[in-house]
Amino acid sequence: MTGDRDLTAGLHRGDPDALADLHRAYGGTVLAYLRSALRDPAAAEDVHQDVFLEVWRRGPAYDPDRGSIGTWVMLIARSRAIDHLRKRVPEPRDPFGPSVAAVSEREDHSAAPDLLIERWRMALLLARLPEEQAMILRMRFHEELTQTEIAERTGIALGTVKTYMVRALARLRDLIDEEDGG
Amino acid sequence: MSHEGDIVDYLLGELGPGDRARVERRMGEDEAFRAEVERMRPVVAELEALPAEAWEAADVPPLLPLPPLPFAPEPSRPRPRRAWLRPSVAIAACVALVAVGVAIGALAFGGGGGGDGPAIELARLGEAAPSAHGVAHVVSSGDGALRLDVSGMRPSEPRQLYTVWLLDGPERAVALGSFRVPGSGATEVTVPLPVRLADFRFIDVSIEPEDGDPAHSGRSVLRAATAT
Repeated sequence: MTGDRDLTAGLHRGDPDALADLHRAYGGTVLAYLRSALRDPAAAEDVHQDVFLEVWRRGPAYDPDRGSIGTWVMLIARSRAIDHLRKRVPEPRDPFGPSVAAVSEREDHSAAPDLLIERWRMALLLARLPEEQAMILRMRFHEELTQTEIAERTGIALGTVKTYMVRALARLRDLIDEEDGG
Repeated sequence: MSHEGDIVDYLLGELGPGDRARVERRMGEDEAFRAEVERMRPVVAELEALPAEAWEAADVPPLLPLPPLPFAPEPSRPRPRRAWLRPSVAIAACVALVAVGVAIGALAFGGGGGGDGPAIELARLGEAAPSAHGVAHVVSSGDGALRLDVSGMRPSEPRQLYTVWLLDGPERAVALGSFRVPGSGATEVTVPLPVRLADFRFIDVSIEPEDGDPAHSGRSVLRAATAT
C-alpha cells in the first residue's frame, strides 16, 4: 500500500494515480462512515463521490502537519455528510404520532457525524493493516469469535492466529502513537 | 506463551482463571509489564467500540472522471492567454530565446554548467507514459529561461504539441512555450522565463491540440511544485 507521504506528494502535484491509491485505501471506510451517518445507501454513494472530488480539488493544499491524510479525508466526509443532512427535506409528519420535539430530536442527525468521527479513527487504521491481520481482527471484534474459533473457522493454526492478533494490535498501537505525534 | 500473547489473551478475556490470576499477579509485581498492558488496553477498547458498519465490506463505487484541477483552468472558465502569444511578450520571448541561444552556445563551447538553478523533478500525471519523467532547471544567465529535459515521453502525435506552463490558480496560467517530442521520447528544450518562477506553484507540461485555443487543455502529463 502506498504510504501517506507518497499519497501526500501525489496529491500536491495533482496526480490522479495518488487519488486512486487514496480511494483504494480509504474509500471503503469513507463509504461505511457515510452509510452510518446518513442511513441512506444511495445518498451515501452520492456524497462519497463528492468527498473524493473535493479531496482531488483540495489535495494540492493538504497540509500533513494538521493531521493524517485519512483523518483529513474523514473530516471532509463529515462536512459533506452534515451538508447533506441539512439539505434533506423533512418528510411530512403524522400529527397524531410522537411529539414534534421527539421526532426532531431523532431526526437531528447533524450532530451525529460530529460525535461519530472519533470512533472511526480505528477504521482508518485498520485499512493500513495487512489483509490477513485485518481479517483476524474483523472475526474477533465484529463476529465476536474467540481466537480458537477463528482458527477452526479459517483452518489457520491457533498459534498463527495469535501471532497475527499480537502483530495487528501492536501495529495499531504504533499507528495511534504516530497519529498522536508520539 | 510470549508475554505479548499473554497480554493480548488477557485483554481479550481469553485466559482461564489460573492464567488470568498469574497475569494479574505479574502486573502487580512488574511495572514494565503492567505498562505494556495499559498501553495495549485502549487499542482493544477502541476496536470493541468501532461501529458495526466499519467492519462490513462495502462495494465502493469507482471514482468518477476527474475534472481538471482548479489551477488547470476548466474549459468553461475565462481562458488565460498564453503569454507567448501576446505580441509584447512574444518580442520579449524572442529576445529571451536569443539570449538562451547565446547561453547554450556558451555552454557548448566551454561555458560549463554555471548559472543553472537546482534540478526540479517533474513527476508523471494522467495519460503520460509510465516512464515519463522530466527535470527542469532555471537558467539564470541572460534574461532568464527554463531548461527542460524530458524522457520516456510519448512521441508527439500529428497536430499535437507539448506545452510548458507555470500554474498558480484558476486565473493564473502562463504558457512558456511549446515543443514536440521525437520518436526517442526524449528531448531538451529551453523556454523563456519572463516571470518569477517563485510566483507560481507548479511547473506543468500538458498535451495541447493545435487548435488555436490558448487555454490549458487539462491534459497535464508532467508536473512539479516550484517550491519543494
